[in-house]
Amino acid sequence: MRLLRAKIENFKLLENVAIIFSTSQQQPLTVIRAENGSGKTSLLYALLWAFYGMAGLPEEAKELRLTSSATPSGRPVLISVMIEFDHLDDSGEAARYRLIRSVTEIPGDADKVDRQQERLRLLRIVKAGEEEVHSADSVIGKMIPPRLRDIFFTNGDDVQRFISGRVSTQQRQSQVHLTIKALLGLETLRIGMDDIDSVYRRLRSEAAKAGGADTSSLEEELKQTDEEITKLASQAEKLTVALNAMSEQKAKWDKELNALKGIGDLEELNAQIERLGKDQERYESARSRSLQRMRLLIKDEAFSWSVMEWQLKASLARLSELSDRRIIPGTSIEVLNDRLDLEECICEEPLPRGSERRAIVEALRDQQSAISESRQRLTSLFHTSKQAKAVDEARESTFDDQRTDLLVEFTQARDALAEVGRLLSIAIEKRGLIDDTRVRELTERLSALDAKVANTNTKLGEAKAKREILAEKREGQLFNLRNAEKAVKISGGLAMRRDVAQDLLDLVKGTLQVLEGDYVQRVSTRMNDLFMEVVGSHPDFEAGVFTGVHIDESYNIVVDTHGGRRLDTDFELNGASQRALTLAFIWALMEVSATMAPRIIDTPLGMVAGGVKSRMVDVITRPSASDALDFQVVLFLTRSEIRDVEELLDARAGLVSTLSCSKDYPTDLKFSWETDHPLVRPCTCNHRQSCRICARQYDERHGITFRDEEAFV
Amino acid sequence: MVDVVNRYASQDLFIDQEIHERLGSFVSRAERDNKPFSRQVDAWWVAMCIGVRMGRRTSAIGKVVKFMDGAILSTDPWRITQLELLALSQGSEAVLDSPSAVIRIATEYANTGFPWLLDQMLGQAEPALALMIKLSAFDELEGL
Repeated sequence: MRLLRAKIENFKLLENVAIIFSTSQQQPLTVIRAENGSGKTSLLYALLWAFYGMAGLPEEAKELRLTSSATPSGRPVLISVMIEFDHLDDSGEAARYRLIRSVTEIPGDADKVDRQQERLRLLRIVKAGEEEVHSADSVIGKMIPPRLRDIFFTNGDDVQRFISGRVSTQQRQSQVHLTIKALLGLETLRIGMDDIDSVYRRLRSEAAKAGGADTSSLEEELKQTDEEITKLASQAEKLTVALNAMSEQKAKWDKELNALKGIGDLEELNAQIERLGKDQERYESARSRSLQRMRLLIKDEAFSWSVMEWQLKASLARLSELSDRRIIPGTSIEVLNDRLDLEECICEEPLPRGSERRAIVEALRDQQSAISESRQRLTSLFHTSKQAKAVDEARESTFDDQRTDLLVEFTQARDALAEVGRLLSIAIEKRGLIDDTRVRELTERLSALDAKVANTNTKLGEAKAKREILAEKREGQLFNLRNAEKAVKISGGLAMRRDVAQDLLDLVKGTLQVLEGDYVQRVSTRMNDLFMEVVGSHPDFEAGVFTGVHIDESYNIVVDTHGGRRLDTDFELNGASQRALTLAFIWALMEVSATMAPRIIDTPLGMVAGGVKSRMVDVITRPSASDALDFQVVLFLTRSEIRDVEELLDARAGLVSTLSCSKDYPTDLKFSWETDHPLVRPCTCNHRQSCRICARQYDERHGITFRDEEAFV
Repeated sequence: MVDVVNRYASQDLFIDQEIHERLGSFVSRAERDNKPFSRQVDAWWVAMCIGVRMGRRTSAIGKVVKFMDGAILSTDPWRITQLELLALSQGSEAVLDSPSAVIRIATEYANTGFPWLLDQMLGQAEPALALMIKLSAFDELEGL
């Protein structure tokens, strides 16, 4: 299929929008430039709705009205989307079609809407005019299968579903597997194989009956075994379906539990709160100790010495001077008494009793006695203060040092206490948020579900094992039947038809296996090439992260890194690489299957920048090397996505249109459209132009040239 | 260590009445109260030190309250030594002959230091911490 043009009327804000798609082989790209809220997603939904009806819209969009929310209640609105396209039929003949889907909606109060029966017309355009194609839904479903909708129409976020671990593994594998089978046409071959198998069984039964009782009995046994095998296959399929359902349920509960646990594990939180409580006590006690030591330091001798140092030292110096002058200590009285007892002066003159000289010394002794009490005090003070000063000077740390240490100690304890308090509040608040009952309930349910999954897996294993045993038994029975048939006469024609049917069945089975394996391998190889090119990685470069990507035997898309390890696509791949990987898968699949269908991607370059951005645009817009493969890609891009890839768009884009929304005036749009209701308008401006419809503030800064006209389509 | 004789045991220690009332909220023997001083004499002593650093002596003007007698000084004998050294720094050696003169000098310095001391602690969640921080800038006390 190749899109030619589309016309949308009254779909959301797309009141009257026409889009022309590029059909050039050298410029296969069509760009729809539109900012956020300017109709890109509405356009994507309009195309999806045209092809698939309401069933084609995402679940969340199905409940919404198709008309503009500004449409007055009670006014009927005809919504219509027309798409013109070329399509190659099974015989390789190209034909042109016009598809028109329409519906009338009558908006009611609030969000209610009365939607009437949808009408779909598919017209084949022939020389003579137009022919109505009957069963239009089925025909379109065959042309562009609904199950491949995610391949043909994607947006930047949904594009992850082939690789995201956020859907269950089985869902993801199944999605990849089914997509591969559907695109490569293997499903059709499998249906053909089932048909041949049923023909073969009928012929085998007829031949055995023709051989008589023995062969007929052996055939009956073989048939029973076949039936048992079929039964086991059906049982295995049911078990697989049940496992899928369980897996989905498990993913749902896991998600809820993880969300609850994301707040924090209750037991861990309780332990944390207890730990923090103890820390709090410890730091509180350290803080109190600091304050207590501060109180002790304030009343300590060291503080007094420090504050009154100058005065105390001055007095000490004065006492020292008195000591130097021998005024203190007051030892002269004892000396004079000694001399009087010895009756000899210090100068060795005799001091006999009653002598004049002795009387002078006695007078001196009496005078000294009068002042001795005062001197004794001074002497005592001199000694105690000298000792006290010596003790003060011998201190390991001064008052200032102790004071600084205490302040540091206190500050550390206070800060730690504040931090612990903060963490404690957070933990207590978190604990308050946890719905403990729900956590327990989910944990119990998950545990029960795990047991059920294990049990179902065991049953599945048993069914598969039994099937293996029966398959061996069947081989033996078939061998016996063939031997028995040799001994009896069976019509040559019947035996030959049976043998041909069996040969054909074996051939188709083998072909299917080879094709599936071969195709998957080719898709895998091509996906690797494209991905590595986009992310700019080389497998041999040791400083690189990726060594390659592949599809494994279970249909997982796997990202390889050094040392044979795998990277988790959700958590170890950035947004740009995730997009690159999914686009590489889709592109590889379509190339290998030679599918001719448009690839329409809404906002593919969000979160992508720099070299990856330009390489991604280069890869997904590169014209096909094969003439046989018509290739068409439609990208819905914002101005910021376009930035830095303008030159690539110059080369690859056959057609560019711009969509703008009236709601953006005057904040972003430069010119008013003078409309009385919100609407989206298209114009023919390309990624380097603007006009009176689409011109936005700051366009000049980005090198966009203004055309002073309305370039309405 | 030389034994220090407490000649001031019979001397009364006084504080300005208003200061005494305010001081109450900063003194407690109970450790859990986190008060900066466990005894009034400790606050009086710190006020005296601050007054000395400020370099001024202030005579009591209003009513005074006897909060303790000098016997309390025996619990920290080094204070007797420092009291006497302080007194000696103020005049002749004869000052030591009069215990009341020595106590008066100390009291007058305490009178100077008390208002500043109380101001630093007033309204503080942790008065001891506030005081410890303020006591870093002794030089700023000079001349206040």
